[in-house]
Amino acid sequence: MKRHRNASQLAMLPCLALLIWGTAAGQQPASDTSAVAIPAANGTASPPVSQSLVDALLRELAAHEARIKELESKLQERVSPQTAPPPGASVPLSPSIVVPKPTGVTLAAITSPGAGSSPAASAPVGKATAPESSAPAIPVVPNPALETVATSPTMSTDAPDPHDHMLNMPGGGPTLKIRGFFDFDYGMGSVANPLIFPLGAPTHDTFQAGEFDLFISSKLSKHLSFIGEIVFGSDRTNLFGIDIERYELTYKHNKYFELSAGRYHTSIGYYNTAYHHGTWFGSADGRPFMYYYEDSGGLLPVHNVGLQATGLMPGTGSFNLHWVAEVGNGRASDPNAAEPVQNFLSDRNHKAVNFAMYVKPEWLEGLQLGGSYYLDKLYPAGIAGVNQHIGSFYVVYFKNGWESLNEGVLLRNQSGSDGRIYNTPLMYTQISHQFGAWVPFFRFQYVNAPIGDPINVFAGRYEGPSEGIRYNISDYAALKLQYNRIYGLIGNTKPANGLNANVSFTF
Amino acid sequence: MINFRTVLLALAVCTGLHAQCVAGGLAVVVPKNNPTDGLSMAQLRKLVLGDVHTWPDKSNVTLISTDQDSPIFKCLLTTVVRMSLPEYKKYLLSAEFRGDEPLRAKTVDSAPTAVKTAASLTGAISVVDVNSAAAMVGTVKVLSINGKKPGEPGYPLP
Repeated sequence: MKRHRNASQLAMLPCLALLIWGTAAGQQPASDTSAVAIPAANGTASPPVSQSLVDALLRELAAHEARIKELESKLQERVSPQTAPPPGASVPLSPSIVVPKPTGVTLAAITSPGAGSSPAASAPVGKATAPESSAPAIPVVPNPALETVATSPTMSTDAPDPHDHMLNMPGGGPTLKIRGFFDFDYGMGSVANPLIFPLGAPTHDTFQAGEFDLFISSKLSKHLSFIGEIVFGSDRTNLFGIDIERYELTYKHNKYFELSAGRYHTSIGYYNTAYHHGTWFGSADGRPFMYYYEDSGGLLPVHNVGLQATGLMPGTGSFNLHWVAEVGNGRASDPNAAEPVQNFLSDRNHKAVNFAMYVKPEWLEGLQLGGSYYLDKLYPAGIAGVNQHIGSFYVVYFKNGWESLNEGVLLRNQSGSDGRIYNTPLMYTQISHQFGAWVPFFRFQYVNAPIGDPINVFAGRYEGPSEGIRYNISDYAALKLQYNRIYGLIGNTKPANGLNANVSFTF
Repeated sequence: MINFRTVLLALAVCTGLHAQCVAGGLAVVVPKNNPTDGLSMAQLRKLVLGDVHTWPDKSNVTLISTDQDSPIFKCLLTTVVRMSLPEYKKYLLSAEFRGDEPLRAKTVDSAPTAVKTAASLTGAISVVDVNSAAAMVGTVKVLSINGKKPGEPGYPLP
């Protein structure tokens, strides 16, 4: 077979040959060494060559050839991405991302040769195994602007997508990946804005900056990784503010256990941990009102600062039952605090806890069911503590272009002063279907917060439909047009209307 | 009124379209040294989606795929992943955004190159047309899917 080698590969061949020779010599038993007929130094003839010796030599030759092939494969694997891509290799177009090291998600239950010999091979992904250690991989970055920092001697087997933005440390440190999200809106009406309610000011037809979201991630070691999400956003003051919405240092032991420390999105319901701040991800424009951020009129503690543990529940088979446990500072006791998320200083020793579970059954592809329970105690001024309980349940389904999101939450605040209970039901349902580049969607949402609740910043009903259409301009940009009609706002006898046009993209 | 014959005709048309996804059908190949001999469709889907990152021998999974516009890749998306290309890209980005481990992938321009690359890269997996796999069957292992090899009755890939 004709082989193509480049200069660097050819230069490596002598080393390779020495390595093979050394390896083979080292592996050869002493008896075999004596059996190989090498002419003696005094020139005496070697013993006659028997058929068994020839067979042994042939076997040894075959073993060496196999070893050569294996080493050549490894050599090609190490060299090819930077110097010699496979013949005909092209620039990758998939959005797949280069991550240098594996984690604990392992394809088990298919190890035995017979595993695939029957339909039983559809057994679920099974036991966890420790991830393999590998050399740090620093991907080759085709972007000329980044090539100057992508010249580390360490090589990667992967080539990144042109959509990726990566910065590499000289000498082979962690690779920093940056991805951005942004949206730009034009809104008409008081309930046009997809992120803040109430706006706190008279509304006019407005061009509006959305969230400028920089998402960064880096793999620090085999088990350690870091993600951060920095958002620049504005509000009725027209000033831009900066929030580090997420920062999580994660230790992933295996698929059954990972622990994160930092600021995270609380595992209440589905939407909050699925879409985060990337407006582009959602079919509809903006988050459902029940998941608005704490500083934008939201009722739920969607952010928390503390610890988060999660993993797959062992032995749950094709149900794929996952668990989440969180402990954090919880929301500020003062409902009007300038920063409701307690980033630096907690106003109490008591910590909020949250437990969540969800299943993704393999036998019903696209379905996810889950629920959570959150417990905290807050101390607003003048009240002897407020016990906060938040229960959630959701069913979501994605398949063949269909999207169905259905979530319900019951927020219960109980005053320690008079024992009065304030129940706030929150829910939404959303359905969409993709027809090529077009995605029509419909969302109905309902929130009913009782007046007098000592914690909630919003009181009254927020109920009504939103309908619209999303048009995918490209794989990474979308145009959305959405109409909102909201009933039940306190002080309004008529429903409020809002029309919003939005362009969102990732870069 | 829809009668039995109409249903059969529709099924036949659908089957025909399905069969025309890629001439000769699809085959899943891995390097010879991969100890895995077979996958279920669910496992194959997880591998292509990046939901599973390591093989039982702990080697990293790397998906070697043909260009996104190639019939093979389109066929892979429609029959295994059951997503459109934008949905697939969004899924991968979404996983990354949630902090999950992203998929390792390498894109090449033809099925023979995919097979050749898969043959030489430990942990690689590639879905190619059967003819390309057969041409280099000595260098790669063709996996059974749901216990069936390409060409066997009941083989689930078109």
